[in-house]
Amino acid sequence: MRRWWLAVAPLALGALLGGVVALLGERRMIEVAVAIPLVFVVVGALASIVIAVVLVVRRAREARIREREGARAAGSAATIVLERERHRRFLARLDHELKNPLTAIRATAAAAGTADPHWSLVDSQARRLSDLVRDLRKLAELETRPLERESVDLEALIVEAVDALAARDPGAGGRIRLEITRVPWPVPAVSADLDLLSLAVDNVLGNAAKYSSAGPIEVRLREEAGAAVIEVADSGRGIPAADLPQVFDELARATNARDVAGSGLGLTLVQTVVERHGGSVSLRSVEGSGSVVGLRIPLA
Amino acid sequence: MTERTRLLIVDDDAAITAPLASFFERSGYSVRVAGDGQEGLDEVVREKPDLVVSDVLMPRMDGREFVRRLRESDPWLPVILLTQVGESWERSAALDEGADDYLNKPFDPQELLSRIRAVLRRATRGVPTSQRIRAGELLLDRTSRRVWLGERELTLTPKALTLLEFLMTHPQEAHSRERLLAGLWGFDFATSSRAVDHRIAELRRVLADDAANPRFIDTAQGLGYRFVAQVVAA
Repeated sequence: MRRWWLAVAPLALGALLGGVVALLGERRMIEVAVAIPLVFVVVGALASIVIAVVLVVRRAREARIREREGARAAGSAATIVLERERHRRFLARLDHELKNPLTAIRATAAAAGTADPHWSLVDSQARRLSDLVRDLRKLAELETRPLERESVDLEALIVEAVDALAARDPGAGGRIRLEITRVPWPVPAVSADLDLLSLAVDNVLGNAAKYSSAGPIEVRLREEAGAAVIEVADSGRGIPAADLPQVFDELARATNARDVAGSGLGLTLVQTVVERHGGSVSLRSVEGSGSVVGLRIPLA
Repeated sequence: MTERTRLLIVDDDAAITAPLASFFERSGYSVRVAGDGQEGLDEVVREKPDLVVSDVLMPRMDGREFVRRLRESDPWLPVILLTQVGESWERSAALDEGADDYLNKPFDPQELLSRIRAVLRRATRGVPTSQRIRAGELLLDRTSRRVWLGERELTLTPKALTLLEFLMTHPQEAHSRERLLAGLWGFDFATSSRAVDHRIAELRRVLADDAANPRFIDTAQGLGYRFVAQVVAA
């Protein structure tokens, strides 16, 4: 409060006038008679005024604090956006700068001929490197790429994803159990980019198949609090608790997954796609027991 | 002995052109190299090649400008652009400038070789590069991005339209899902090739094309899709 002196001003003015009047020799007295009940009323009124003033002051202070915190939050959100944008530009530059050297390596390997096992190795490693950098950049681009939304029937999408997995990996396909909620009504269609959402579901299903060599894989679809929820649960190796906080980071791979081929980009992709649709991804996992990945996609 | 097909490679990076030239020569082509777009134009004037492979980002004159200038004097010389970005708009930009095909860096040289063969085959068959093309009663206006089947204008999603345009401008060629995905969608994560199937299904539905007995789009078993109807300039 910068205007505290306003509160003191009447007192000061009163004291000044009193002093002046006293100096002028004013000695007359005013006698006031007040009824006792009125004293209670006046004291009560004064107390109310004091409380009201305290409340107003406190509310003003809280509003200021909220305002400051809001500004700070907006600032950090802006910082995050800026940070992601910088990250995206960096990946684009990295991808761009690696293109020519990788092209040169692959051309050299081709010129040397594929009969030479050493050159085949050089070529396959160059390919691996270019795939990785390309995927990183495309992943970053997914954050800003415009969505082509259409009405998507999630049950059809899931059934198709399961069929596609079963075609690639009949063993895993045989372990999948579908639990689609249809009563009292089926899960409504969502407005989504069909290609990207399929990509996310494929990834989660693929992970469940990849990291569980046996045991059932449950795929569930239900409606919950204004969102469609897709859950994929497996009874596989799970993720060590220490790795869980980084599990959505780019290139992060669980310490118990070194024997399984993977780029460490799958869950980042899933999260990016679902968040672009205004949804969220959850992951619960216990090492040695299995994992449940949940995709929440808002209905409206 | 038959004369070798002559290729011109235009790229400012000698670390790429030298091994690429030697790879193509081993594959039976005669190869010349130019260091930028201007040199490329000079080489074409000096001795016309059968096909040009050009980079996009080059000093002095870049690949797009090179293709534009080339088209002024030679509308038919086949050009494959080596683009830098895998986005779908990049690819249509490449084709809009008049390139016959494009390939993203870094590429598999074998893939470039098969593109060169396909483009040369297409060039000898004379597939129209016109802005309005027709296959039977199917009419596509590439400039306004509108499609008609007979008198009726069709409504297609942007992806389906891009896919149709690509198939119609590359008829009678089988295209793998992966290639369509990488070229038209701009992403080619391994598991996503069903995206192509979705759009093919949309096209077949809108075109009333029977998959078992296709008038337009045939499924190339185990590979991908092929536009089977004859395409002519409209």
